[in-house]
This record gives sequence, structure tokens and C-alpha cells, in this order.
Amino acid sequence: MSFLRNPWLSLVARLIVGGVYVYASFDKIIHPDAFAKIVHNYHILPDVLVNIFALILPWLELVCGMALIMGTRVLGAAVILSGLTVVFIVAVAVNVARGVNIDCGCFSTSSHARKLGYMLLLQDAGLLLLSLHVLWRGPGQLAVDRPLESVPA
Amino acid sequence: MKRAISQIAFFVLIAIALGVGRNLAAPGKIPWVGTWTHVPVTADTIVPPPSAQKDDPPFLTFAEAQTKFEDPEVIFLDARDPEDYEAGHIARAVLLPFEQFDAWWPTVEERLSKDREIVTYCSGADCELSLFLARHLRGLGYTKISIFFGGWLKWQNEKMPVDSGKVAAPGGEGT
Repeated sequence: MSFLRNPWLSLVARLIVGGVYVYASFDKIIHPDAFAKIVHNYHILPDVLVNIFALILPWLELVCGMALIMGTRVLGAAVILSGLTVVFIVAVAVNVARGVNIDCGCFSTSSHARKLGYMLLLQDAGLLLLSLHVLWRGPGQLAVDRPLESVPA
Repeated sequence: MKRAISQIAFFVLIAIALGVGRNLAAPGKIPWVGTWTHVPVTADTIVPPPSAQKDDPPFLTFAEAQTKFEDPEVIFLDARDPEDYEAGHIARAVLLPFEQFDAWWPTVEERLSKDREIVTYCSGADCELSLFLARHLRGLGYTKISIFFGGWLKWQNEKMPVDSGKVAAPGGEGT
């Protein structure tokens, strides 16, 4: 299993997680009203927090995703994105269990975008594994901040 | 650990600054605290969705929907996706997913007549598919349409009769 420690694998994991989150942030940043409605539909946050969350979350995805891609402040960015992925998994699982047919709001705020489902949970789990790998092994190759002391040589 | 916390704080502060800044400066501002309507799943009242208009087909309370359900002549149309329908639906309801209307319409049309009474529904959690479907059908000339906006959620909560199981895709190629 030594390939799991390969610093090139860390680079790939970092680029995938960063790329997915950067991509996911665009449409939400452009359409905060539509995204707020989706957040509300999840029926998890109290009403007063819905809009604030919808305004700030996509930017957090964007800056952390960019930090991962560049390889700077990787530890903090990976903690945040792992945490967000866990939050998304819980939010989706709760609503799948409720049997509610709502928009995912993952990559697009359009109402014709995908709905919640088990495939989505599986993809989120994969994303979580990759970001945990970044947490475990550090930024790997070609990072702006290399070497981080948490990364064994 | 300390480094992780300071990096996390760094990202969170930047995101707050950008999010707040965007909402102050750029087009498409939203209020800091939104006003949200909730579709009650326990009380038997109707809260139409924000997109509802005055001339929309009538909305049914749960009690009214129950009465319609007891009449075998009334057909319930499920406007959700096939996967949701297969996972569970109102007993005897017929699948007509609004977002795949053209593909499924032929399977439903033969079972309807213009004077047949129709009730549309969807998930019941701020779902508007039932409303869109009802409007669309009215546009096709069906007149006796109403919408059970409490939907699948309310139906389940009230422990009303349900069905589930696979449904053949339109064209018969299987799902």
C-alpha cells in the first residue's frame, strides 16, 4: 500500500478536491438568491442563518479550493473542506431519509439540476476520502508551501 | 494544531469578507435575514408556494385530498421523478414526472379523459412540481384539476395507504 504515501497521489487528491470545490462555488456566488432557497429547502438551518450561510459558504469553498490547488495553507483548507463534506453528507442523508425530493445545490442552483440520492452520497464519500488523504499526507508535490513540517520526507 | 486553527481562521475571515462584500456591492443582493414560508406538515392548512398565482388550480387541504382519494374515479398524479415514485407513492397514484413530461405523457394520456377529476402532488416540502404539472395539464384542456400541496410527506405522516415498486419506463425499455 506504499502508493498511498506517494507524494504525487497527494498532489492528485489536492487538485481533485480543490477543483471540485472551486467549480462548485461559481454558480452559488453568482446566484445567492437561488442558493439561499436551496439551503432553506434542506430544512436544517434556522431561518435567520439561511441567507448568511448562503452568502459565505460558496466563498469559503472557493478560497479553500484555490488554496488546495495552489498548495498553500493546505492544512487549514483541507480541514475546512473535509468538514464541509461531512456536513453535506449529513445534510443529504437526512433529506434522503426524509424522502424529500429537493435540489442538490451542489454544483448548480438551477431547479433542473440533480436531486438528492444515494449516488450523491457515494460521490461525497469519495471526496471526503480524498480530502482526508490531503490531511493525512500533506500537500505532496508541486505545492507553493512545500515542505510542510507535518509531511514526512 | 495552532497552525491549523490560524489557517482555518484565515480562510473563514476571508470568506466572510468576500461574502459580505459581494452582498453589499454586487448585483443580485439578498437580505441578510430572509423571510421563509414553511409548508406545515402537521397542521391541516395550505401554504401555497411563492410562485402560486391567483388563477392557479385550487389547492387541497389534507382532509379534502382524503375525500378525493376515497372516490376511485379521481386520479392522483405523482409529479416527482420516477425514482421517488418507485420508492413510495400515494396508493393507486399514477406517475407523471413533470421534468420528463413529454416522455411519460403518452403512458398517462390514455388513462385520462378531459372530464376526469385530477389531483396532482409532489414531495410536499416546498416542492412546486405539482403546481407546474397542474398548470401544464390545464393548458392541455383538462379542467377538473386540483393540487394536494401537502404531498407525499403529509400523506406518509398521516399513515395513509401507499404503494411502492418498479414502474416500466415509457417505451418499455425498463428502468
